[in-house]
Amino acid sequence: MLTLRNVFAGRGGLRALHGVSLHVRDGTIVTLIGSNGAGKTTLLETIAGLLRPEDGWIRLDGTDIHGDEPEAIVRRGIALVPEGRQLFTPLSVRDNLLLGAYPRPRREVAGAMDEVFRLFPALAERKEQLAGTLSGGEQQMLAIGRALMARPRILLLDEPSMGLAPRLTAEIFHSLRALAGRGVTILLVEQNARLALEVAERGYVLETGRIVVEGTSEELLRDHGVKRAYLGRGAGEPWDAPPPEGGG
Amino acid sequence: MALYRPEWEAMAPEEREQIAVERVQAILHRVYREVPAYRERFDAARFAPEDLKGLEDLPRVPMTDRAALVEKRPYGFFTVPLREVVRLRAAPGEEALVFGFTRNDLERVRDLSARVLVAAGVTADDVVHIDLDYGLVNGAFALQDGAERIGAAVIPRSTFDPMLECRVMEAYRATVLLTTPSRLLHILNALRGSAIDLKDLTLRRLILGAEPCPEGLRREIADRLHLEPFEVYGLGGILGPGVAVECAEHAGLHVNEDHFLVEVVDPASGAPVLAGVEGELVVTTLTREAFPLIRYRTGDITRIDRTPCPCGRTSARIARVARRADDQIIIEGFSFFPAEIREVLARVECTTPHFQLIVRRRALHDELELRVEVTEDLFRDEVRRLEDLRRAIEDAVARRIGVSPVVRLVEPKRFSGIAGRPPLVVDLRARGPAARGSAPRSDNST
Repeated sequence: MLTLRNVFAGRGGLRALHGVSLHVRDGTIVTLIGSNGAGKTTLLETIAGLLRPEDGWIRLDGTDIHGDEPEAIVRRGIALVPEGRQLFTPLSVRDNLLLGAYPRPRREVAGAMDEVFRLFPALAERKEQLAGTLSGGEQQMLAIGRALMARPRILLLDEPSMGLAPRLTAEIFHSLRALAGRGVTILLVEQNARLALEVAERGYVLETGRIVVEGTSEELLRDHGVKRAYLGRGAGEPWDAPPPEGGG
Repeated sequence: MALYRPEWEAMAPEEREQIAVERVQAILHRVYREVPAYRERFDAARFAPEDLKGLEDLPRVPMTDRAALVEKRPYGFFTVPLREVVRLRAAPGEEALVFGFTRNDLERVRDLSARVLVAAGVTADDVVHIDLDYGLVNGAFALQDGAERIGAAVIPRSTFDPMLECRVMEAYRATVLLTTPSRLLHILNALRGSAIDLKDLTLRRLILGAEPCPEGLRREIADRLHLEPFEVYGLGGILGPGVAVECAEHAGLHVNEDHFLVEVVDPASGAPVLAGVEGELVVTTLTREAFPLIRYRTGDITRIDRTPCPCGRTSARIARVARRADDQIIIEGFSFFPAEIREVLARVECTTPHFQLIVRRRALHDELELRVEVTEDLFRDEVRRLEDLRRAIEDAVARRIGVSPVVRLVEPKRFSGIAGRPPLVVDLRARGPAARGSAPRSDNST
């Protein structure tokens, strides 16, 4: 189980997280929803060791990891899929995947790559193609695939749906469910709250660096505050008046 | 015996603690943002939600009491706009409070009701007779929903007449009776001299709630029904009946700690008491959306037991609540609780459990006036009986509490009418250096 308690963190002297506590049970998908600037990315980067918390602790199965270097955290089985994918665009799909395999012994690499190709057959067809020439959806698959090469127990995903067409997003989320089915634990940061809550078991709502709602996805989908703020237009009840033209 | 939600009820204590911290932090942030009344109280105490780093910091959070809620009636403590509320309920009392529930709140209340009923041994095979006043006891609807969720067959109270209710239980072979201690006494009294005896019915479980049950009364009930009662605790229906319940061990009430945090404080100072020491119960709701309560002083006296229970539930237990902190009356050096008067009245014919105590300061001594609501039956006899009854009550009360009251009989329905109960205790003495904390209910400022 991944557990955070009272995590305060930020960058450049600007504090983005004000005492965040959350937990993710093994083999579950938990989502963190919130608007831009709520601190979602900061939270994932802090777990991944890219930022160090000013206060509080982060534990994996009861062991503190918040002081560890990012490499050590990857070796513990936590992999981050950053926002905007951050692929090595001049390199091939295969080479991008190989870069993700650096914490693993050489003999396991081929097997890990096969697993990624089974999950994302589209990547197998394009393994020699340069990453920069892939479509947005394929790039996202590659970013997730690269993280999976480290055979992580916990996957931290930052906005996987960003910039993707709905069909591709659905495909990505389908594979997330498949991953969870294989026992991979997922902490999913998403602006598309409805989609995230459909795939996740539980969720948290982060507002200006503070968690204000916690619950099962079912509860969050019924929560009017969540509906109003994150599920957007059309989330109201059918008997509600339509929003005024041009309003939002 | 079965657990309705084993994943929560038998959860590892460390995991429950993590969830409690997450939930209490979220609710503190939410009320600080959404409820000006809470924000003012927190600011005045120089407390910010992020100051709570663990449950050990809970005593730093300002407490809330009934007086604070009354001051901001009706909607001042609501966390969501009224359009998101799907049910409103009034809590009994002269200054009626209105509580709201969102859809999620009601869903959780139903689930918790099912939990407490399963803990008390109710199954899908049971016929549950709910002899509660649906108008006054807020938990009645929730318990009905909970019983139906388990799959039990429910018979809601249909009349006020205790004899008729007993015939219903007999005819439909009710296996579970769910009622209040005072109503049960009322039934037992009504059955005197009749052919029906509750202990001969098919009842196999007795569940009591909605009011404190002194130990003597509990023993008497257990003896007469040959059933050990299961008590449920729900804070006068404000939170619904699912706060805590006795398991089959009958050694305290398990608190549903994934939804409610409990503490015990010294009723006078408000400071936390040592583990296991008796004091006033303070409740914080972890999952309420419409009307969360933050460190609410319940006025109920209990103690907390965190030792493991053989039933498998890992939650803390509170001792059965036998009395309240704020209704304690001290007169001429004698102290007693209104519940004791209720017990006495239960043994006197032609009286109801509805009464009012008025304390006055006379020239030389304090005077206790006891107004007792009588039943219709009384008026079928000649007038002389009124005087006999008055004297019988005076004697019985004096024997019990050491103070002889001035008894006045009042007409039926005077106190039990639906229009809201009058205050149980009216203390007209000048506020002296009484050894009590704030006692909003027993003060009468008019």
